[in-house]
Amino acid sequence: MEVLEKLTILADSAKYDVACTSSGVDREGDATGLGSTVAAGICHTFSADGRCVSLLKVLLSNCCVYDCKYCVNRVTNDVPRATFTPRELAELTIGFYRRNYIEGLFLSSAVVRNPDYTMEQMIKVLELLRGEYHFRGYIHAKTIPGADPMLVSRIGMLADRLSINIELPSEKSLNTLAPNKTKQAILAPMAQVRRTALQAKAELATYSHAPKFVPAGQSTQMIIGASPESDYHILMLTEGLYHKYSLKRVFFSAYIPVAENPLLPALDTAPPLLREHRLYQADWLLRFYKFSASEILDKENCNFNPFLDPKCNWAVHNLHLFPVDINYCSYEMLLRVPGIGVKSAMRIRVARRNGTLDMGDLRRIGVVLKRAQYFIVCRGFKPMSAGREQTVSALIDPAAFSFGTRQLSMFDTPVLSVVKGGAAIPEIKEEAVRCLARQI
Amino acid sequence: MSGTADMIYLYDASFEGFLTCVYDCVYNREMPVDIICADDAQPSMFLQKNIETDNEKAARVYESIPRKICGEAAELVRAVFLSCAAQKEMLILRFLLLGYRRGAQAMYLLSNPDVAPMYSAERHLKNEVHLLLGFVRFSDYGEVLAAVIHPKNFVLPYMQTHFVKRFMCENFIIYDEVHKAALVYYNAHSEIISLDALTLPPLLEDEKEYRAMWAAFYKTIAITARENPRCRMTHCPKRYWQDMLEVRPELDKTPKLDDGNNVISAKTGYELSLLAMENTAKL
Repeated sequence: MEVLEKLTILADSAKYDVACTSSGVDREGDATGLGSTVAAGICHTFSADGRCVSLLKVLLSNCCVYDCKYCVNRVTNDVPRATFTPRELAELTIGFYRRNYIEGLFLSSAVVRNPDYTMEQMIKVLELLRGEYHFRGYIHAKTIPGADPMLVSRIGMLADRLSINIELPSEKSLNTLAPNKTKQAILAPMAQVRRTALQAKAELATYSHAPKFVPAGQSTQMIIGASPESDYHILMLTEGLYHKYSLKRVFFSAYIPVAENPLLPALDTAPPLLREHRLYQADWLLRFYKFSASEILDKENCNFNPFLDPKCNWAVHNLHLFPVDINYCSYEMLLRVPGIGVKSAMRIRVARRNGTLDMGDLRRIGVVLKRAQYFIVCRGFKPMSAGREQTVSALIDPAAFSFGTRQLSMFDTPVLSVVKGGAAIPEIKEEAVRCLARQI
Repeated sequence: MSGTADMIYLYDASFEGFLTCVYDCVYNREMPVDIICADDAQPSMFLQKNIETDNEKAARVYESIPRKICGEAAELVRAVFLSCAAQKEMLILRFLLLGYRRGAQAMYLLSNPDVAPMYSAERHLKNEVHLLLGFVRFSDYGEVLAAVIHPKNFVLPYMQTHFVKRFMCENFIIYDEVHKAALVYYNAHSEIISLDALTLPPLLEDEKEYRAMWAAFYKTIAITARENPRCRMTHCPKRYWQDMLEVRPELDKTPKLDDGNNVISAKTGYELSLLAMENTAKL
């Protein structure tokens, strides 16, 4: 089989993996090898679905022995199968890297024979790259659940980032949909990676040449919409993973039906893209805005508001904390103003040391005032005493409408069923505003 | 500054030339209405004053920036001068005059009308640099890798370290067709040279194969159920597509013809590398 054909088959099998980041580690190039890494990560292109492509994302093989119901590569599925030899894949990576197509390699694999054998094959590829080709670019490798801990520590020495997919947001769903995988087999290597990385960091502080173990940390991914968990459940799980396992990222992947099974959503179900979007917004609030999961959602409101992003939603539920004075409030509070992001907050913090700011100043600094204007006070400006209804109407996320009818199955609110009927959007928006204002 | 002079300064488009303008402005106590490149000058109602580039004056001005303002200010001035901001010369001049009065504090007056545009110009440049670090596509011509880019800002100096460190054992050329300049790295020596055109030799078989594989990979990796052209264009603006082989077919553009005097035209990769070597040897 030609390499081109293998590449097509194995990239096709790998495309549902979400992570394609090349961030988290700075490594300069040197005269002995090829490549370097940049802590911020570099996107090399964007695919037709708007996702960043920064790594050559392929499977080593898609000849899987497992039968996970949601997966394209399950053993019972009739798809073309292929396997790269380690040499082929290493050469392909170098060829792409030299032409600046990619930032490195994202290597995953279906389970061939057994987890240990699969990991050994993956390690062979990485050893070729790091050893023979002196490759210093980024490598993200998947850990296969159930593989020997020795193999995990071996691959961690070669890769920059490791990830173990937790696949589904609860053990129950995992047992139903991925019967060959267990919670234990997923979490044990995650804990091991965390432990070893901490240890390697401590050693590095003592000996500057101590080997680095997964310098860019570990990440994970879960499928959203294939199982019945609530957003609150998922968000609490995410927060737990960040705290307990020091993950760098948790990725969410809207379930795209690839298999017909009574346990799964029907084949014509559209992927819950808005829900995924809201989860990422909440994820950002956790990681960069010092929110906790229980502030964003709670047991009563256990799903995201489709019309307001999580930060706006939090703000309209906590109107008693606003408006805040841009010139005096704490940095943490600045971060909580809808429309003000980390960069704007930092710029405001610098600029206000040299004099009080007015609206013109904020604009020149680059703060987007579209949403923020309802929540801030600054020199010479007080927000209009807009009613709750007006505020909510100004904040409504147009994305909730442009996603259109795809979103319907997720939220069974009467408002959305009107969308399905094809009513005019302004009318729906009005109704949504009334609903929301009442609810708040 | 004693006041506005009804005068336009003309300079030779070099950084030193511009710094000489700053010198003259300060020591003649006059504020020009504009500083423009002599080649772009048009007849106008304002008096036009030709400023001869004087390296000594330029050095004095450049040396004064870290001393009177701060080191970062010098960096900022350099970046804005290489950016594509409208009237960047006047922007920098006003910033420097403010800086000479306020010292290092000028860097933190983010909302000042003379400072804010400096930062946004710098951001525009740095953002484009960051995008291009990923969007540059090299083609392998045997002895040397070559790429062509069409940026708005003069980005090559900011790409130099990244690519030199990344491809230390390779030889490469990045040609900026808009600014007629090339970043050449040959035999562990890198330099930015001015170059009117670059004609590339025909593609090797191997190169064609890799291109085909990359195009196939790009096509395969997209999930049809999630197609989102607007999102793609936000992240990867269309003006970069002409140089990115995986999306170029979607642009459906007629190829540009080269003309000019200072032309590198090579039949083979070997010739290309010889020419690169000559150019770096000259410097």
